[in-house]
Amino acid sequence: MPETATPPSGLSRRHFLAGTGAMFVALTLPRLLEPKSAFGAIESGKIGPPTVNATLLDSWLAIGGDGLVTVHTGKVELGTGVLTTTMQLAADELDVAIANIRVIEGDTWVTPDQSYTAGSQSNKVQYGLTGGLRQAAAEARLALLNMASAQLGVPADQLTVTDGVVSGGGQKVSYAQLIGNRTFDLAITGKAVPKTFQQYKVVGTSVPRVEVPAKALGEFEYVQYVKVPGMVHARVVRPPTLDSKLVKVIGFPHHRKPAGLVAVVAKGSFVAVVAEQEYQAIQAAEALQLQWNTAPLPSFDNLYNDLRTLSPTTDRVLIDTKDVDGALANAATKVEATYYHPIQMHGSMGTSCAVASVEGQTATVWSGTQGVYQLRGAIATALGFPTPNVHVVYTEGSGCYGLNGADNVSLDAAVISQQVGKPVRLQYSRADEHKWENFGQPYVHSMHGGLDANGNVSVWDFVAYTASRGGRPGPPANLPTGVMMGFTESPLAASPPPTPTQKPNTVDNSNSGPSYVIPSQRLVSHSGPHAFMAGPLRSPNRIQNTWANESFMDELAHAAGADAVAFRLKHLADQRLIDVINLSAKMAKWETRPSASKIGGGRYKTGRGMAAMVYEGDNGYNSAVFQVTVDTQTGKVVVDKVWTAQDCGPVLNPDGMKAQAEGCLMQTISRALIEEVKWKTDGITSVDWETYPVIRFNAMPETFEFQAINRPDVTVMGAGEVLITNGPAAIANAIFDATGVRLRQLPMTPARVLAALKA
Amino acid sequence: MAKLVINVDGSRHAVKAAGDTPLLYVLQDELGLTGPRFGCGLSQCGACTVQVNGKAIRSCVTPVVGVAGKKISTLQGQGTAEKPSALQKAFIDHQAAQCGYCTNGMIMAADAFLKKTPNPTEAEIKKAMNPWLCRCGTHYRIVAAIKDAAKAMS
Ligand code: FES
Ligand code: FES
Repeated sequence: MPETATPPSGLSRRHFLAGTGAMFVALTLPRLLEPKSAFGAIESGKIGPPTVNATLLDSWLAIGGDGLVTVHTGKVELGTGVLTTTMQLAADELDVAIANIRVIEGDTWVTPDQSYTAGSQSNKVQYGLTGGLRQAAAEARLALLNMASAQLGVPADQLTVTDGVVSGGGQKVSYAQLIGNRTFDLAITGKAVPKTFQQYKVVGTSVPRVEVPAKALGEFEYVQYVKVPGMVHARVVRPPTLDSKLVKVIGFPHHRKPAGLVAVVAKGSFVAVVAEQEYQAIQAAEALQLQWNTAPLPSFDNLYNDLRTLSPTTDRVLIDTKDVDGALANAATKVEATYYHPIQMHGSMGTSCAVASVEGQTATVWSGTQGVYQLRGAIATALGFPTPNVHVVYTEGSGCYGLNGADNVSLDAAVISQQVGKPVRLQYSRADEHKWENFGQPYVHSMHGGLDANGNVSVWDFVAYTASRGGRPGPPANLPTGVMMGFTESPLAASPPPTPTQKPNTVDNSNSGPSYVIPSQRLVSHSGPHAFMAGPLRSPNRIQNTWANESFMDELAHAAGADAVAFRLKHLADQRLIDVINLSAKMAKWETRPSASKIGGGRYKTGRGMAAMVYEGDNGYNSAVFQVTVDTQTGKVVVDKVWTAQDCGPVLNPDGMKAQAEGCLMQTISRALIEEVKWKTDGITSVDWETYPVIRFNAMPETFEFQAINRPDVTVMGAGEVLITNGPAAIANAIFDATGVRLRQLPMTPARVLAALKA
Repeated sequence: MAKLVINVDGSRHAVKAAGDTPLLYVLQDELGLTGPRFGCGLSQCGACTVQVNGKAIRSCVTPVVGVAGKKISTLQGQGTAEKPSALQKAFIDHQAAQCGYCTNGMIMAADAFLKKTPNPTEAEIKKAMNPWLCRCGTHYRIVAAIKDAAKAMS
């Protein structure tokens, strides 16, 4: 057809071709990773190395004959700016311009296994002194300087490097001349000393994110746009509930084969249809008739009672000073409270998508996963292949904020491709995404505490009840599809021996412990089995625990008749946490007085509240002050102003860090005020943006002030999950200040606020 | 049946898919365009927004047969790396994308809005953009970018 032979205006030829044929598969792998040589015995060129050896310099970077530096990273861009901070690091360590750096992200044939891109660990790991890219790049620089020294006859310590050109003794030689297109063949020795943050010139500046122009121009190649020749389209057809069983595939109405149908795939209770075109697959999926044996879900209304009575549970004693019962009995003032946190979802804007091509005994999967290696294991198990036969190539999708549907859809696509013997593209419907992701965990926190005669917190007794099921891959049954296919689920973890490993007054990596110095402490958690799949959702467990801890600390401050900021400060020893609290209070012009001591008259009441914590005990400090207005007639809460200060060590990219805080702000308001997954016994009812609404432009706080304390002399900490962690408690504390009424259940919807005001 | 032909960013394309196929799938799968994208298929999020005769519409619920003979424009037709539109430039300058999945809808909606309302207040921008969802929380930058683009365009 002549009409399709010309690219539409504004489209480059590259994109036009990309749209009609194979996309961007990196077939020109560096020679050192040529699969055959790396995995000698295997004939097929489609089988990759079992691992990419992270102790070899060549596994981390390569320098081309054109002087371009290609960095291999296991920490991928999820829309958070990690790609750019990774390039900043390479630019500084190697003295190469950012424009001359390329990055291969998350590819099981190319990049070292750096585990998941998650948990605010990416920059912490890459910028760590050992084990990450910083060390590898320093080793490369040292090796290059030694080569240059030999070639130029100038001692290495008299050489300087500018934009990949080494100079000394009036002579010059470029990196490309020294090693272009060849391998280093060196192990990482640990001898090279990375530069300090004070020496960095690119790190610490607001380098614009490298992929934003493509995103704004509509040229960015999301996983949703990957196309391979011969590709067909699939759609999954899910059971009513996770444990429902497929009785039989009835077929299509009137035995009429839908247009374009390629196949119906059923494996256990996993069902999918495949068609030539995407919309044909959608229509066929809607038409397909199935008979299910429906396993009812537990009652929605009973969720929190169920959490407290689940059995068996994994029980953990995190801290026990063994004197808590006595201390509670002796406290001058006792406070107790129970907090409730619902199930929430990632709710990615784009539904998850993957393209998989299974040929014989090998598979290639383009996936938006946070962990290519872990996903590779799950897919290999599901397909019955040895792990190296599966090649997972990270391709950015919609923002995920944790374990959204990206891994599950990749597993689905691989299984379907194996069944139909063709490359398969699968993108979920909105309901597939909403109902079948691994949700954030629900929690009940039962808290008891006491004040001594001086109004200091003398005892803190924390019991958390939660439930979980599945999680990140490895095992296929950690994902919904694996369960539907009948893979064995991991058993409930055994309770560790009740000897607490945490010392009193330390925060564990799930923020169970409060950040405060309290003499008597007991922290216990119970985690039971769940009817829903669960998995990490931005600030997993940390936001729930902080919601309880920082609400409870506020209740103790109120019981002591103390100002919320001053009360926290007098229980703190960690100077960095003290500093961010003081800074946020200063930014907010915090008025020192007990909360709820200045409740205004009239329908609209305004108040301020704060929360602070150190993330995971060692991974970022944040303090936030929220000002809210409560409409006492409707119960509607509006967040008016927010001031926040944080300390995540050296600031790598000031604007990037601020962008993460802005995202945290919008999401934390959304989760505090709006979000709750709902269901009936015959299925989840939060199926789209109307039944699971999220924050919009109309709820943006009118003021958001952000400051970071830059500490170039300490290690890098995560900046992507700190502010979000403080939001729910800070908002509840502000509502209390405004109204004198304490909200203890999330989300703080108008109905709940109104009920609390009337109680 | 006569072949369905659509006019996208100034070029004509014969459509292979059936006429009731939503425009989005034709743009994405047949034309290989990487602007509009699937977010919900329910007219709830705006990720699939394109303009038809200058009006922002949701291509996920618009049958392709209904837009034959009309002028369809997409994000890639707005500008290029060398010559980005005022909105594209402002989105880049303000780094108004995290994952960027919503960016297509934001720019296409803002473009249609600014044509009608050349000098909007911040409140007007927020109100106009309220039906478009962003899950990453890029709202501040999107509003700032639209404000700047409005200035540049006026
Ligand atoms: S994809 Fe069209 S409105 Fe969501
Ligand atoms: S930038 Fe990710 S949804 Fe808006």
